[in-house]
Amino acid sequence: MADSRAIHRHDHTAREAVLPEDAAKILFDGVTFEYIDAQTGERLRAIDGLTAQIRENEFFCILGPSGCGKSTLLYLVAGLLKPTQGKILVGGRVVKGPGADRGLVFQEYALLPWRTVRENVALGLKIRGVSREERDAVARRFIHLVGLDGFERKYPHELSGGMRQRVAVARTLANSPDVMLMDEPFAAVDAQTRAVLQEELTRIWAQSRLTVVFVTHNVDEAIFLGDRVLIMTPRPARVHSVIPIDIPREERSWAHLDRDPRFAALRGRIGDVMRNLGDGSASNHDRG
Amino acid sequence: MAIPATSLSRPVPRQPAWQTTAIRAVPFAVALAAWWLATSPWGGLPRYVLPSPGAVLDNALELYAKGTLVSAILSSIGRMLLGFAFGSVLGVGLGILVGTNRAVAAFFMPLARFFQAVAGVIWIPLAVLWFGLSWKSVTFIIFNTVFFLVFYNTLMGVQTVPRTLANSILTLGGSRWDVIWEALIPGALPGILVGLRVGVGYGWRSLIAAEIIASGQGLGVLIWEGQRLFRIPDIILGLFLIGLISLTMDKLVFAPLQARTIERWGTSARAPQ
Repeated sequence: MADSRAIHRHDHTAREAVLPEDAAKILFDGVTFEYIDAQTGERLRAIDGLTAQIRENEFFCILGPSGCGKSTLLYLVAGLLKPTQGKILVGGRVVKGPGADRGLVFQEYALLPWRTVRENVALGLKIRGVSREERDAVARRFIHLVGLDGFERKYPHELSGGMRQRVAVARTLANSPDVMLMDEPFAAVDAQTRAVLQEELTRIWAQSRLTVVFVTHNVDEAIFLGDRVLIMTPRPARVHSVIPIDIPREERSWAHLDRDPRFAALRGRIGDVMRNLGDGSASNHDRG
Repeated sequence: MAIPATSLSRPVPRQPAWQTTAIRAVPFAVALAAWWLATSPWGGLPRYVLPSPGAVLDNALELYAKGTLVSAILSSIGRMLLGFAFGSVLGVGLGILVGTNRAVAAFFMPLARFFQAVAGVIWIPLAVLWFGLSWKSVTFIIFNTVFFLVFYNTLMGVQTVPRTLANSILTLGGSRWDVIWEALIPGALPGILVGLRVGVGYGWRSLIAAEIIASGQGLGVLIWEGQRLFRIPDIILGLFLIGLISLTMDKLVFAPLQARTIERWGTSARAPQ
């Protein structure tokens, strides 16, 4: 795993199409997920033989209509669900269950209400048995990174939605995962806060060079954040297409992109695809 | 950081403690005045219906001087604490055990519902047969009442903890034990506290009923004998003392516990004061 990382860290932009299996940070290999509907007892297929690859250090967005199985895909990578068929490899190893190497940021924050900001951020370290002084130091660093200095002793219910999601991101990062999975993390915050959080997330990602898998139903968000955007079909979900976002990182600020013709072109193209897939909720003009 | 701080917790303007206490004392003062007025010559309620506050107080002082009042209070409180301690510890423990294991829950839930419906004083006849006419029967009845209330509410509390909290601990590398300790137990606390508080109330009612039948001593006996010997001030006194002890217990134990935990965490609606 360490070898493949060393080889592909610098040249991954040159490889566009198919990578050898061991070069992908995350590999979906014919993944099918079925479940029994609790009401009807029917067997339903949420994901249908999905195959895709995500590179090391990549910011990979998964875009699809509401209810198409995007979150299910993340839960499969996190190991909270198991594929019915096929397999998922992370760092060359088959995913068998949840693990600290794959952090998940939940849409609904999932902070512990009975823990302060600092205790929430340090939770992963506490679970691993890291000493109190060390986890406090690490927590302080990541609280600073997400701009919440001074809020260490607050409880989650005392924070706004945007601040809670910052805590959730800090908690995931403080646990030093290889992969950060994000399940529509900014869907519940207001538009202005969301724009700020999106810009900060790219800044944090650029510093940490994590592999990020970011699920959203919002076209603008996917283009703004992603190196590539995977568009999923409605259920049962398959890969519709994978679109590279060729806007340089240093030009990705909302102030700039709102007038950028490449951004407008991508938005038009992806928006058309989404409309054809039959999702009325995909909007070009709203960031969430 | 350009996040406006408007949604941060605003301190609720707080009254001084003496003021709060004074305000809460008002309804009691009104009730006392109404009682006094009703039993006075203007109210005209005969004393065999309701004795006056003064008569009840005189009676209390008399019983206190004889020593029977203190021993009745102490023996009732002792039984209550013993039964409550067993019932709540076992109730919380088993509630969490059953709540964290789906198979065990499926087995126990129907049983729990059945026994909750028939918990408490229904067991007095059996308790007397098993433990005789003694404090043991009384304690068993309190235990039986408190246990099922605490067990059931703990179980409900565990089951209402959002699934994502457990998932978040698993994705941080936590074990099943971490999920129970970090998420399920603190998450069940609102339910546990409801169980304990309701348990105290029902525990006292059971105690009175059980003492009447199975014991020669305690506040229940004071009330029962009061009826039998037509000593109405005894009945009123017993009633007043039980209310006072319950209120004190709530104020000293449960209110601070709740303020320090679920109210601070924002996981409870503010408790009715």
